[in-house]
Amino acid sequence: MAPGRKFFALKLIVTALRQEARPLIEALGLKQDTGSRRIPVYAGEDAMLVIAGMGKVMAAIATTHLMHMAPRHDRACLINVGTCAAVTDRLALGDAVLANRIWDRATEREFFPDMLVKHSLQEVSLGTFDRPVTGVKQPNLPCQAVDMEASGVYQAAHLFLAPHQMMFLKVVVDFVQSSTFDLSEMLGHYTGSMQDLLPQITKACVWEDPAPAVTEGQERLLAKVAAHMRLTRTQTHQLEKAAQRFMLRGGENLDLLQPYLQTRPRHKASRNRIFSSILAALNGS
Amino acid sequence: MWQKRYSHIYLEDGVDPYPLTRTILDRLPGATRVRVADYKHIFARGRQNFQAQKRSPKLILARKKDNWIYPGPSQSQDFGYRNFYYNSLLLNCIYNCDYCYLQGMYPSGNLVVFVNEDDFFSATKRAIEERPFPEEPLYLCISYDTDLLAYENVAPYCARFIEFTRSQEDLLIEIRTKSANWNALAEVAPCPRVILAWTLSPRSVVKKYEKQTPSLEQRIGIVKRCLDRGWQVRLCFDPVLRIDGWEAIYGEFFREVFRALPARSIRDVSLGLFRMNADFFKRIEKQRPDSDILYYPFERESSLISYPQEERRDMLSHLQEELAAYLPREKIETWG
Ligand code: SF4
Repeated sequence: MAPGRKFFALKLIVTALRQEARPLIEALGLKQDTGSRRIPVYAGEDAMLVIAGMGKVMAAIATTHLMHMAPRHDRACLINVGTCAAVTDRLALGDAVLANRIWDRATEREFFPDMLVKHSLQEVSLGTFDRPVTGVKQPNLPCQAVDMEASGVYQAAHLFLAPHQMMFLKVVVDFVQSSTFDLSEMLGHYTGSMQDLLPQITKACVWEDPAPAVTEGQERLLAKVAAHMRLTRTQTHQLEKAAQRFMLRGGENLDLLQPYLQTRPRHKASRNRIFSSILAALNGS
Repeated sequence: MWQKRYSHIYLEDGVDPYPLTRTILDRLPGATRVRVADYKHIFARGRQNFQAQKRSPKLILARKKDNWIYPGPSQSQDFGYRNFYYNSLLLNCIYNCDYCYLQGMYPSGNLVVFVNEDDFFSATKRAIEERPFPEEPLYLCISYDTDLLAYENVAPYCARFIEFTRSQEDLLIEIRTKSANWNALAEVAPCPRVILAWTLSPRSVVKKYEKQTPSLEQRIGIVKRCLDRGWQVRLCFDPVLRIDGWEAIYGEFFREVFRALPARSIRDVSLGLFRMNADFFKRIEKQRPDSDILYYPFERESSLISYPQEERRDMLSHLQEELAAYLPREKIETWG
């Protein structure tokens, strides 16, 4: 695929706890949205964050809420940031990890975010459990880390977004075999990993898409011409396609359509005649 | 910014014992391995973006549980063989041609390799035995919805299928490709019941619409080597695109091809115009605002879209005329 246009996707961040959200709110300069009272939402210029509470049900509710509040979905990247417990001793406390597979313990379903963007973190298969996990023996689990939210976030986000628009970033704050349950110690590991997490969040949100041949201004012109000439829906669609092709074939602009803003055909037959001549001009025949 | 292609290999439960799994894992040692219970859990997810995934396609190793062989569709190229079949050893293709229907056919840009090759061979043997016209061979296209030869360095399916064909007297296979992967064939002895079919396009078409594929020179180069070695070679001028100046461009292109290749050694030629299933086309249009060939004012005829009938007639008769200067007409199969 040819290189396209770079843009910054809107970051839509889901965290479980207020303490997990705080360093992100500060780093991204977010302000609380007072319109969202039951589910705390923070927003800034290119990011929104929701605090879900614990567990996958709360996570799914909050994700859905955030998706409804987001001004757009096509250029957005959902990031679930939080803590996890390691199942394997390959991971150390404070490691920031990225989930390439999410496995829901209760339903045995599995979910896969696309792994398209380069990163420098360790990847894990992440198991989402309904309650805190302790003392589980490593060989029995088909995952290297566990949390309580990711599968809920994925399922809710997938109603709105493609799998390449989702990322699950977790920090190891505990081990399932030897949990300390010391919250302040856990949060210390989490905050300490922010310098690894934040660049990854920024990197994941630099996107590229095919440069559109027809600009937004030209789209408005096409809509005006269609309205002015009272084109049918099919004709409007044909006009848009012909304009797209005209620009893709190296057309400089759509100025040739300007005169049609002055023309208001009186009856169908003359409209159709004029329309055919517009198509012929755009299609170069 | 993007991960390398095949940075990740997804392994479906149950693929580990297959030798092809080992071969592929050995050939891509740096890839991250991820377990998946059923390949469809990743390949058939909803809302995937085919073109976004093509920036860093992943590999999925799976077992095909049924349908190891399909009867060829009636509107497809059977070259007069009535026992026409095809199979899907691989889902998707390593290339990403602008006009490719796979973009609309598959939900994902990732590649699936089915590793249970013996099931494909057994099914083919059964189909040979049960073929409806026993006086004719079973004609099987093994690179039908993909480019198998281009992927030979990772999944050596062509070499294995050629060896299998050697042992099956009533089997004729076609391997269609745009690849110039000579290494994949260098050590393989030609088999008269294997047709290597190269899709050739004018230089400007390759550059603009067949991105990441070998150049026309490279394709002609490998065709020449294969002809010298005694392989059966088919040339596919398909799809012909109605681009500005198509008459002159395709005329010069045919001249160039038959200057470089001895026409009498070519088994046959397939000539076809761009056409596509209308539903696939609808899906592709939404994802490809960057390719002018998809915005042509096409005509829909039953389930297919193609150039308007008059243009089609005009193009085909012109191109057939051009080709007839190099090959007898009975060697030219026309589609579109
Ligand atoms: S080589 Fe064939 S199968 Fe592969 S992308 Fe191009 S048209 Fe599609």
